[in-house]
Amino acid sequence: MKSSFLCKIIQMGENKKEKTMYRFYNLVFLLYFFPFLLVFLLVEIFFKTSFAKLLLFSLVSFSLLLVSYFILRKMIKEWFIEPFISVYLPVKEFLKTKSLIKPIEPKGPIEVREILSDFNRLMLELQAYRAFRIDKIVDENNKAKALADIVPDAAILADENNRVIYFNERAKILLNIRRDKEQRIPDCVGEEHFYKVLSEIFEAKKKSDFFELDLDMGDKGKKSYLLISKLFNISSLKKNGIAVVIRDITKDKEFEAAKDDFFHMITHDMRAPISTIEGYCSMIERKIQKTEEIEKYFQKVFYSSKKLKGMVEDTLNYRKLKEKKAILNLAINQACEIIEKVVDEHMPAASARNIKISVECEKNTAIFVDANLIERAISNLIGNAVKFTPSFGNIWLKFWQDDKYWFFSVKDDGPGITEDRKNMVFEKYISYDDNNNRGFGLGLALCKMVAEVHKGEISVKSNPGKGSEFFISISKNLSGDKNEKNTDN
Amino acid sequence: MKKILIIDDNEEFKEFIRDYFSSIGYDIVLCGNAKDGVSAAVREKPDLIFLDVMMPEKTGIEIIREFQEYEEIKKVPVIVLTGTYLESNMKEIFSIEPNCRAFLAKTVDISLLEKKVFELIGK
Repeated sequence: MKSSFLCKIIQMGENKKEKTMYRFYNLVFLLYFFPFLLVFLLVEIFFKTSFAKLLLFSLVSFSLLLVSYFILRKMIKEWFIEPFISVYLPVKEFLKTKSLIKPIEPKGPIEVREILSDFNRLMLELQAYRAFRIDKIVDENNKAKALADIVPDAAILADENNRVIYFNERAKILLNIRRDKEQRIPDCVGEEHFYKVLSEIFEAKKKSDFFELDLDMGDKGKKSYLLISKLFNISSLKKNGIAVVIRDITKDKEFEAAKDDFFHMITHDMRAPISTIEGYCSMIERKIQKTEEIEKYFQKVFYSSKKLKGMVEDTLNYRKLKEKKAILNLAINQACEIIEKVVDEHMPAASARNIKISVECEKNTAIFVDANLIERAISNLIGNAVKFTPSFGNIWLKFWQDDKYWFFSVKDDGPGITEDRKNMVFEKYISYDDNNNRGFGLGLALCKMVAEVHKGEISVKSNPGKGSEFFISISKNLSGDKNEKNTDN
Repeated sequence: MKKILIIDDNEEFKEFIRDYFSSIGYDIVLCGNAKDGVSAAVREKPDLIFLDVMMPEKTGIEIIREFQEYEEIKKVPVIVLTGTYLESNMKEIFSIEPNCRAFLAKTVDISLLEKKVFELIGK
């Protein structure tokens, strides 16, 4: 503003001192006319015109010049400079402070006035929008924070350099996050147990992962936590950050343990009575004269009692295996004999509904397994197959091997299993019957346990309407445990 | 007839074994405690002994060792039975004893028990 020549001419300055100075400049500028007037007069004298005419002419032209100068100056000032400045200053202020203190007074020619009032409207809208956006952002942030702080799980976000971006209230308490230390994980974690664990996780930089932690928290007792970590990205990060959620699952585990204890307690006491029933039935069978009908009745009694015994055994074994209290009773057994024994058990029930069971087994193949467990596993699979296969259906049993594993498979042409159920079918305490009712089912969970304990796997191939095939693989390379501990014989 | 002595404090189980094995042609003698057990063994001279692991006054291992002190009965085969959990070491401990021929759970298939008995002493 100061340096503009135009401003000096129209005497526009930022303060009184400047204005006075510019007035002075203007005066000086005007005085420059007199020498020119003198020169003009002299020229006229030399070219011999009447002095009076000359004087009049020069006075008039000088006055005209003076007047037009003032008019021009006023015009420029009022119509261009002032409107321009009145727009320029507020805009500059607005951009600096991001707010419009007061609207600009529209003045000057109509076009300028229109521009100014449009400008006012524009600035006001921009200001309102800005305020709204910021309020909205703050609101959203507060909403998220309110939720995050009420959630009982600890949550932390860290950037690609392990610097903490965010942690919720629970994380602060659980991990004892220290503000004095640099906000990097795991350095800022005050709780020693979590310090160790988080160091490992952040070191490994694993992708989405979750695992359980059992920590002895000293005076706080033994607690279990579920840790879930996941990579994430937001625009302010160059590379992926890590989000970690920690959930206290101590109660959940206690509950599950209580459930297991409960079942164990019940089933343990069932064993003796079942044996007694079986035993006395055997004795009755031997003593009486059997008709075909009575023979059939006995078959059903024995089948049921065996099934019941199997369920009890599975429950007890499952727990022993899970707690790793059972050491396998590994021995050399004939694969085909095991299969035949199990098939024989289920034959009556199968034939009753005209279900055909076919066996494909490499003869004279010895396998090194815990016979009792393998029998239970195969029995469960065949039992399920018989249960779910409709009358006149088929069940196929196969045994084969490759250089690393022995394989058993049980295939049926029953209704098959839907995709979503396939994932859950090996879970504990889940079983489905024809009417889609969930039942107490440990069978497949036990099969899974048996496979895993033999360093193998269980899997199922199935499609609705196309039957199912269950596969159990057993590793040939079981480090021979010399210890023997009976699973329930 | 072959004679079997049962030493067990569980009444139900004793009766069950007696009923079953007598129905298949064995002579059964029952005994409810450790002290009587040893004297019954000496007196009756059975061909086989069923011994319960957990007895009130003496443990099964003590009893089975006591059998070995008597000339008449130290050669008698003993089948050790347990109604509770099979402890990991128990089987080993009993298996060391020369007169212990089997270590089984009481809930094992009765036909299996029958087979074992037949293996050891015949009919």
